[in-house]
Amino acid sequence: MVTAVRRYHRWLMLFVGLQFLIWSFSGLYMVLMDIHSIHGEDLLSAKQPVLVYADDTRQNEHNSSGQKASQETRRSISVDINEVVLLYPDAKNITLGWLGITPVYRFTDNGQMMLDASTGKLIDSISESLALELAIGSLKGSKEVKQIELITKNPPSEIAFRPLPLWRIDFFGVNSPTLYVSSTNGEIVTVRQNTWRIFDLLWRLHIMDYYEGEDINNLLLNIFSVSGFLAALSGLVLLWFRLFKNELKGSIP
Amino acid sequence: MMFKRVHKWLSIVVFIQLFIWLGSGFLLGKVDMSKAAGRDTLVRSNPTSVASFYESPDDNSVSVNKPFISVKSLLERYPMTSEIELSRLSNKVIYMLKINAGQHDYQASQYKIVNAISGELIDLSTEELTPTDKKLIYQIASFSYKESAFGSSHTQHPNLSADQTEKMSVASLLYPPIEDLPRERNAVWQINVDDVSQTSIYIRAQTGDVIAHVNNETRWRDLLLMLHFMDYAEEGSFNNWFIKIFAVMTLLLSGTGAWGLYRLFSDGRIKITWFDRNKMLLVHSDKLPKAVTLSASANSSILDALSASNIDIKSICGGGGLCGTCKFKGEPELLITDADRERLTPDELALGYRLACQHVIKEVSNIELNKNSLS
Repeated sequence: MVTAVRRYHRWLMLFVGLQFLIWSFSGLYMVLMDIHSIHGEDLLSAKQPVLVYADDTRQNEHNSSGQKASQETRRSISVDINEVVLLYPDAKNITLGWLGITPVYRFTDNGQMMLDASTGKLIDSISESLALELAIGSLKGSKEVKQIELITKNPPSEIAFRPLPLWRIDFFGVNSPTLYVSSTNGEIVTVRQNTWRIFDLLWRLHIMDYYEGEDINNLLLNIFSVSGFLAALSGLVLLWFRLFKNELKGSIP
Repeated sequence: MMFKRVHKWLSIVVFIQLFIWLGSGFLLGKVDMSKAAGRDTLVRSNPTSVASFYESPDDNSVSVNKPFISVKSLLERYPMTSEIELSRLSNKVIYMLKINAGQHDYQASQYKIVNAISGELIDLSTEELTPTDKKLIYQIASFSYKESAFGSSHTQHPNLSADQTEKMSVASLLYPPIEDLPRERNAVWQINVDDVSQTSIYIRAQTGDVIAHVNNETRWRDLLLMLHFMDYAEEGSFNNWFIKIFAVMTLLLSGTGAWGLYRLFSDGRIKITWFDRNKMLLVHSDKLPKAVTLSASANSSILDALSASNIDIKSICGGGGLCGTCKFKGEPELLITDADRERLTPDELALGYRLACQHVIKEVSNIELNKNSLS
């Protein structure tokens, strides 16, 4: 019986052994790398400056210490939210936040709209220079731009489902960070860097879905996990024999 | 032979988790992920324009000319605000303010909810809620719960119908760690719904957002994930030290196994061929009445061929090259494998003794078995 089990263990592992190596290697990478750093959380500075109304005299008081450099150029708000609602009665999801140094209202009306909260003018779309400024402003560390391009169709798979158009800005650096900036509302849509790209690739190998990287119930994976289970089970039987059924225990490693 | 020892000891440590990984990985594929995400019951309200609140007839205090609280006065009251959102919380129009907690990145932001019309602060993160706020929690919960999932026909109404309050438990404020939400780091309101899948509705106390509808499918998915990630401390993460150590050991286990398979190939003990011709082998032994001729595929091991022909050669380990019991005598020129060298004496090797599990049929045509080797 042991002979047969050993044979099964070998032949099953000949079939699934490579996948065992892939599972353990990809799994090891995924557990060793901190998921927050994979998601680029330490690439971007999350801190946003506080909003300031035009005739708010306490402006300097709150903003002077921590955020000095760009504070002079940062603009203050002079358009109230009620004016926005009255101008655009169909506006939904109105938010007031920052676009670089400009406070802006973002909302959906006929698509994504953006209104300069200091001048009241509509902002059409994000220019290349503004996209660069936004990306550089939010990235920590290396800020040397390698290239910038506007993606309007055929997005790379790493931003597959996100609405286009997007500015793609690649930076120099060991980790080759890339920032995707929405060309409609200037938000940093997502980040990718080499550690994340490797993670994505290994994830696909781990779940054996080489196309979409989503289906964890695909036929190939099912076949391999069931045969992998049998292969491991045959290994367990061998282990059992080696540990407990061995008359010559002492002489066997 | 070192790798075999390593392979054995690693398998002793890792094997249970190996089965858990394979089993939970397989079962995770069978989970209804949409149901587990709560999509059977969860509805996110469509964003609506707030302009209608200017002329709302329901609320007498609101007239066309009375605007929402101005941004200026909001910023005067909450000067550390970095983002303002005008949105709906149930049937109320509210401002959601993102407040910088301090000057440094590591200081987390917090949120404040301000009624956009009255300007009063809505604080849902205290256990002693005003009756209005308590009602608000229920409204948020019931707004987020798909009508059809109740199986009743009443229409959606901002105020709770009797039907729904009966089916929703009293809201309770929970602090992390929260069993159903291992990753959550904030206080949440929990409302249990009396439905078939035992849905719990979770609302983040600071923002009033519906975080999730957790049901039995979600709990099953999370249990499988917890096992798959070895997250026995329930931190909601796979970056724990336990799994890191096991992952290293498992990689070594696979590696030593792969190395063993490679050696079987390189020694010619395993061969993959489309067509394996048969070869004859003559077996002599004192214990057999006469010499036996057997026919077996050229690339099968002598041990396998003998057992297949009912010649009961002893083998304790089953062909692992570990026990040294399956001795046979062949030509002294036969290749000597590592296992032969380890298990047999130099004299035996010189006389042509080898282990039957280490050699294949095509290497030999004539072998002799001692009676000690036969059982």
